[in-house]
Amino acid sequence: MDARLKLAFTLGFILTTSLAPPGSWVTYLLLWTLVLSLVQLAQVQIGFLMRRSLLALPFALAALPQLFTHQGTMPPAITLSPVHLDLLAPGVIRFFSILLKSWISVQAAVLLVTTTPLPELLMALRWLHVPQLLVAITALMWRYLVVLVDEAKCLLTSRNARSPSLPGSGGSLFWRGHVTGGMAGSLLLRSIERSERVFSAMQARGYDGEIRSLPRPVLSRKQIIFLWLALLGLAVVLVIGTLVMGRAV
Amino acid sequence: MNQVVDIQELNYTYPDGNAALRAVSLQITAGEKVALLGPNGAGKSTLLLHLNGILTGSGKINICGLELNKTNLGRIRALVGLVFQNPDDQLFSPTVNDDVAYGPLYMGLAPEEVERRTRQALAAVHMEGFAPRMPYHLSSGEKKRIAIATVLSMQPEILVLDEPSAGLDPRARRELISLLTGLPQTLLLATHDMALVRELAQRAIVMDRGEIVANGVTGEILAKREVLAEHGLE
Repeated sequence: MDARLKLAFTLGFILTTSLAPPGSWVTYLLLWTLVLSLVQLAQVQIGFLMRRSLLALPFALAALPQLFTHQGTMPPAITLSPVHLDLLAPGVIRFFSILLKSWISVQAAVLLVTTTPLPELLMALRWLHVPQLLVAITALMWRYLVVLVDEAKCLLTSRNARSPSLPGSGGSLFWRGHVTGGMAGSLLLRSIERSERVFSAMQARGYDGEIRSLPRPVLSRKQIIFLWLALLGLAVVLVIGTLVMGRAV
Repeated sequence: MNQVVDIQELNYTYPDGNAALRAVSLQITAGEKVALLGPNGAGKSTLLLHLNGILTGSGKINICGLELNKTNLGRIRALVGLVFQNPDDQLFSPTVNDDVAYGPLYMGLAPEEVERRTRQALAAVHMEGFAPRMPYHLSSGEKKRIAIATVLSMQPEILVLDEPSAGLDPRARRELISLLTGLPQTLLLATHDMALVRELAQRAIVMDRGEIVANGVTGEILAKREVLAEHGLE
C-alpha cells in the first residue's frame, strides 16, 4: 500500500483514538481489534508489536495524577492512609482510558514504521506538507544514526581490546567514568567533523540552503476514495463511541 | 591546448594557522588523467576542495574558462564533480536514487531530465538495479561506484576524486580502475596508490607541505625513486 495512505490513515487513527471519550471501553476494543487485524494482514509478529508498544508506558506516568486529582461527585473508591489520598472512581477511569488510548496509538504507530521503509515514509511526510527542512533533518538523522552507532562500536571494541582482565586491574569507578566521558567526547567530535564533510559534499553538488526533492507521484482517484472511506469509518467509530458508549466522567 | 583547469599562485591557510597550500600553480588540459601524489598533510585534499569553491584561498582559479568567483560558483560546481574519500560522506540521502538525483535537482533540471540522468549515471557505473537501495546496506566498492554516479549525473567536464581506491578490496579496486579508465571526463585524483597511478594517469604531480615538488609524465615521475622517497612515497 502507498506510504501516504498508510501515514494519513495512521494519523487519523491516532486522532480518533485520542478523541474517544474516557471510559468508552467498547470503542477502544473496536480500535484495538482494527490494529490487530492490520497486524495480521501485514504479517507482523504480535510479540514484536507488544514489546515495542511498551513505549506507551511513560504516558501512564503522566496520567498518574488523574487517579487522585480528578474532581467529581462520586465518593472516593479507596482512601489511602496515612497521607489520605482519595482514589476517585472517575480518576481511575480516566487513568485507564489514557493508558489504553496511548497504548493502542503507539501500536498503530509501530505498525506503520514496521511496514513502511523510511524513504517512503519521508516522501509521505512531504506529501502531508511537513516542512521540508524537518523532513531533510529526519532523513539525515536516520542515514547517519547507523554510521554513528558503528563508530561507537569501534570505540568500544578498541577499549575492550586494551582492557585485559588481570587480578587487581580495572581502575577506579572515577577513572572508568573518565574514559567513558572521553569516548563520548570523541564520538561528538567525530560527528561534528562528519557533519562538516557531509555539508561540503552537499555544497559540491550545488546545495544552496534550499531543500529540493523529486516530485511525488500523484495518488490515483481510487486511492483517494479509499483513504476518505477509511477515515470516514474511523469517524463513525468515534461518533458511536461518543454518542452511544461514551460516559460523562 | 584547451585548458580546463588553470590555477595560478594559490595559497590557503587553515584558521588554525596551518599553511596548507603555498603558491600552487597547475594546468590541466581537457581529457587528461592526472594523479596528485603526496604524503598525508601534503595539501592534496585541500587543493581538490578549491576546485569547486568549497574552500577559497588567495590566487586565481579558472575552470573551463570561467573564473572561480561567487557569480560563477553554481556553474563551476556543475562542471567539477567532486568525489570525497569516504563514500559515507558523499552518500547522504535515504536512497541511492535520491543521492544520484541530488546534483541534477540543484542544477534546476526538469524532473524527466533528472530521472533520465539518474538512470544514465547508474548505468555508467553498472549499478542499474540499485536505485531504491539504501546506501548503508552497500559494500565499500558499491558505495564508491554510487558516489561516482552522484557526480556523473551532473555530466561534469572534470572529475575530481579524493583517494578513490582507499578501503577497497583488490576486486573492487580492479573494477574501479576499469570504470575510471573508460570515463571520458578529465580526471584529477589524489591518491597514495602508486599502482593505480601507473595504470590510470598520464601525468603525475607530487605535492609536499603545500607545494608542488614534481610534475611530469607518470612513467618519468615514478622512475625518480629518490624524489618519491624524499617526499614520503614509494
